Amino acid sequence: MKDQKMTGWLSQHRSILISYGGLIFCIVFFTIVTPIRGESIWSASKVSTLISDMIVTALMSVGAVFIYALGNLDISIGKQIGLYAVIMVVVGNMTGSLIPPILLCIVLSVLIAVVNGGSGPVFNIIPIIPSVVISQVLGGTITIIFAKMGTRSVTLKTIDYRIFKSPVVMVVVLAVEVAIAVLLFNYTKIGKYAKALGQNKTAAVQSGVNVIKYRIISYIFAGLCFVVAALFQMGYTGSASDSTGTGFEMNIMIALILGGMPISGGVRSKVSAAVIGALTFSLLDVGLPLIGIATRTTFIVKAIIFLIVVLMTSRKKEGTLPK
Amino acid sequence: MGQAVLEIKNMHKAFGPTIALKDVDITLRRGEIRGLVGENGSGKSTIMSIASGMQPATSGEMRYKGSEWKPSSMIEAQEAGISMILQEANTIPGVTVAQNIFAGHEKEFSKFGIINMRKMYAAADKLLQDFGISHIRAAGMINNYNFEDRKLIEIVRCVNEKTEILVVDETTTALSLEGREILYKLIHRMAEKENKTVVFVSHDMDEILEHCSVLTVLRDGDIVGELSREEMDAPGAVQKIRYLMVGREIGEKYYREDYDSSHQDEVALELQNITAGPIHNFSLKLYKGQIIGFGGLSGCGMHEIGRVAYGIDKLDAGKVLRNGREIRNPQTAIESGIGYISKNRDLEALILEAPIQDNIVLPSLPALQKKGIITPASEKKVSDQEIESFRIKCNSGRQLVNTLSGGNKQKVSFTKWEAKNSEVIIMDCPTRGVDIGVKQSMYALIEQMKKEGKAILMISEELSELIGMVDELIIMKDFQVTKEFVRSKDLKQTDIIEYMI
Amino acid sequence: MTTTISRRDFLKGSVAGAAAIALTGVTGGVFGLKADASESNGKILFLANTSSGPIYDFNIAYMDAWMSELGYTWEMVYGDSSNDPAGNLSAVKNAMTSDVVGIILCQDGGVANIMEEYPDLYVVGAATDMASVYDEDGASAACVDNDHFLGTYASGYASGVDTGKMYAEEIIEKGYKKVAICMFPSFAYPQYAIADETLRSEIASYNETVSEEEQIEITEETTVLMFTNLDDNFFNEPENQDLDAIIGLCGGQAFLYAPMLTAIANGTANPNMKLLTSGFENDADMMADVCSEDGIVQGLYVPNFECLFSSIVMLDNALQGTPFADYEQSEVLDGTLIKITDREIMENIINESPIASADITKLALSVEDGKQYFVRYNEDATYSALKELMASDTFTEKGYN
Repeated sequence: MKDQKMTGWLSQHRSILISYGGLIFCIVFFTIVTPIRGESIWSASKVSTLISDMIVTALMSVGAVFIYALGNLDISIGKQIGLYAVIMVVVGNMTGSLIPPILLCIVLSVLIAVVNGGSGPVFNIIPIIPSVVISQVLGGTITIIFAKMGTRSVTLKTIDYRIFKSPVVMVVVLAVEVAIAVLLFNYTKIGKYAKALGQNKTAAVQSGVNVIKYRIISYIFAGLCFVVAALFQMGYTGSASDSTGTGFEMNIMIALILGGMPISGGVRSKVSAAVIGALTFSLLDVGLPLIGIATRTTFIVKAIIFLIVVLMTSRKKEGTLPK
Repeated sequence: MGQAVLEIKNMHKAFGPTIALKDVDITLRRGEIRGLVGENGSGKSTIMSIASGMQPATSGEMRYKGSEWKPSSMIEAQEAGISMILQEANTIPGVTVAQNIFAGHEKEFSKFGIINMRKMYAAADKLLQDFGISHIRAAGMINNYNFEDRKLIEIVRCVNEKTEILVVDETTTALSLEGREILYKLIHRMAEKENKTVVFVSHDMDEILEHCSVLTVLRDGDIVGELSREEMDAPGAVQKIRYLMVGREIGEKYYREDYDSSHQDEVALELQNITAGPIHNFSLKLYKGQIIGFGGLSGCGMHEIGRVAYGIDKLDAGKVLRNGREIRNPQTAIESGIGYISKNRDLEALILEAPIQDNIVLPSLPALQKKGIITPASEKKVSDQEIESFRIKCNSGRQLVNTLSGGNKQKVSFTKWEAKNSEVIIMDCPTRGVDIGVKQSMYALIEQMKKEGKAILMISEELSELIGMVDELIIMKDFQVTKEFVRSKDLKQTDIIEYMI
Repeated sequence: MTTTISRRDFLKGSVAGAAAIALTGVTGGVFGLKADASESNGKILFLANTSSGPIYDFNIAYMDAWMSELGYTWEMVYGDSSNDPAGNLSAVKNAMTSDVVGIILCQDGGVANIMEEYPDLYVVGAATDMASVYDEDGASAACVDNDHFLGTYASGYASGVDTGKMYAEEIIEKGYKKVAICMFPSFAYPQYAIADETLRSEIASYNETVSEEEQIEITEETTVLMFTNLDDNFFNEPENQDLDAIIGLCGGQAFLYAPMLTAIANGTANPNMKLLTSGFENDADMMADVCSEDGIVQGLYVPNFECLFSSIVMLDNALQGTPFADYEQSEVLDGTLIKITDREIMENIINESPIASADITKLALSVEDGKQYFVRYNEDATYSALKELMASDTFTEKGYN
């Protein structure tokens, strides 16, 4: 009987086990193996590399949890980061302060959230479509901006951006963002409704959930997280280029799945997936070269690990892709 | 007594630690219509699914027409003469009716690899006629037919001259009244004229008693009784069968026993000159403490009335009013104290993958929040209270709804509105697929609600429960009200049916 | 039912987990040997801008040869495919170990950030003009004055003016009368825009000196290729009818050759249309085409294959603490071009140069001969001698025969 209970528990919490298991395995493996190879992954410089490697993905993914919970996929995240970063540099250089560009980015992120989150149900189209359109528009805007400036990257001139390179600041900001996200996701209507909508929209509507309102609110929170992420992306080098943010939406997807997020969203979504996934991914980024795996090979190793996690977590019933 | 056609001995079926069938013996004979009844999980469907090749038994043996019988698939069983009509929809979408009927048999109509569609349509039309189905055209696309019609098409596909044993598994709940008549005619013809065997698995006591020639009752994987036709006709048979099924005395009381159709004076919900889709200029006043029932065939428009009253379907004209407030969508409905239990429980009323607790509190979240925060403790308190008062069988509120039985799931959809303390409840087929024991407690609950002054709109395809429960019964046909009845001792199903068809 | 499934799946999980451990273990073991092989003077990171192709393969062989000679280990790092500063910095950070002493960069995005992050490392460019360093408003302009920044050796002519002049001369010499220009976008390659301008003005002034029928027409608009193949519609446009040649200020063999071949085969272009361009593709058909009688490519201009040499010299001198006496400040060294303008040269390049085979015994400047330019081997070695060498014919088509 006890055994039965145990296996029942295992099956129910399998995705959690796998995601935590992946993280714990990486931590244990690299803790043991890297010092043998010469340099510990826990050396001060490697830890700070680890934090700076994961911060942007983690900040974005925490926000994206609210979109994924709805069962949706936002293709435009990478371009949003790119646009916010270039605005921060260009407007920052013009005004001599980062405050005006950050406010501008927040306004933009809300507008984008309204379109991305609202147009699906209003026009009765699958929500990935508006995000593709937004992505194209933002991509075009970025291209025009850089073509006008005649350069491929822009750099902050007078503003001191060193604060965004501090690992301590990164950890504190991430902790605050996670705390807010957990609060909203687990203890308010916003997260509860997002999960309900992602799992069974009809049942959620019949239980009184206002689809458009809560979709937009979810997207707005995600958008704010993207602005914060863009700040650190820009602050990493104090610059933005025409390729900043390229492919980030895929990094988010990988991180969330590694972290145990159900790919189709719904009630089993959780904020922790974002942090666990981003951390696991960065551990591989930083750890694999330390154990002597050539950078060329790390891509393959990461791809294989990702594949294993997907095969183990996605069951037939939940196999539907986000829209 | 007819000749034995299928003998089952010591059939045992286990799903892991759960035992579905405990060494069951049963013999099916020619010329009989064998009823199989039992509560959900009693094993009644399992027996026949094994006999018709859907799954293997864990142990035990079967003999069919004198030789050992171990079908490896439903197709093999069907070829050998055992056909089963399933509960779930099983047609192929996107092709014609004829292609569905002759799926797998296209060769009969093809020459040099080209299928003669005209020939196939003609054959299919003839077949449909033989079954007495005149409103379905063989050349029509399957998607143009509703769920009930598709079920009929499935029956046509399953049954042919080779069929020796036909298993009808809970099919009638998915059929319209005309469809049921067609099915009843078919099974009587097969059993009485063609000397074949029909196994009839159903929840509906009335239809079992009316059509079966012998009845087997199961409980917890065991056969607990067998009734002959005479025993079924004896007085008190229903009580006896229920007793066998539930395993305890469930008492005399089932439906309401009073015939008092009075209600309070205050209007709880008003539909004013509603026009929505095919519904034209429909008006209704539901008072506090009143139960209004809607009956009719599945496509008569009664389900739409429920959806309209709850603000799901948009109105072309007219208003739905509660306490002077206009109901425009489920949200305003809930805020005004209206609850809705969908006919489609698993897809619309519940989030199956979520815990019981999350389902129960979902409509109540706005009330539970304090400064925007909803604490798990407050959710648990509400949920545990409801689980307790409805006696939902579960380990805790964290258990997922999809692990519950049908009856307990339905209880969860009731508790959502009880927790919200809704004063108007619109219930669409509230006891669909629910055991007798649970049904009984639900009827008691509905009666209790009426006493508390709640207003109830009860839409049902089961005339007996409407007659048994409602103060006022509205019968609809083709989106029009054809007749209204007031609660009365003398009201009989036969009086009503003529207004439905 | 649920229990049996869960058990099986859990088993599946453990098997997969074990596979992952085995995999990381095995690859770790195999690749690990390389890193630990020799007691070294430290590790050099080589941030590449390609991850395949003949030049990539050759660079690996070249680095292996020189690094083992000089006693360093080295590792390939892949730069951001769009030369994004953050992407390059991340690539370097992730590959960083405490034994890294220097970096060779083939692209310039984020140089300043890398140098700020790792102030003790020596950094040198190779096969890049490091525009962001040497442009006054460039993002990495601060590096110019950093004594750990050791300059760069450009891929081909550092100035687009020289490139433009070269192509103008070739057009006149080969007698093409109608020419179109295709170019990578100027925001990515600012020098190409200058080359385009120069080419046009050179031809314009040539036209003034000759009679009307001898004048050369360059189609009005330069076609910008966003790192994709030339669009098939190009040849349908009226102004592009009957072209004698296309000048490809881009990787022309990769992006122009195939569309031209198709257009000629379809009869939508002049069957005698030719291509003058840069880049080198290690494909048998393309190599056979170059400067053959009916070949489409009649001029192929490839940057110095052995351009890493000067970067390695600069880096080693710095790391050994023995800089050139006559070295003052970092600069961009102009790169030489291997001009393949007839079939004989092409045959020489295929057979006698290391590019097609990555065979370092075919170097224009062998490891042994190269040693004299290092201060550690030759106390009298000078910066000016190195510069002279790097600009000399040693590294042009004349160096391989």
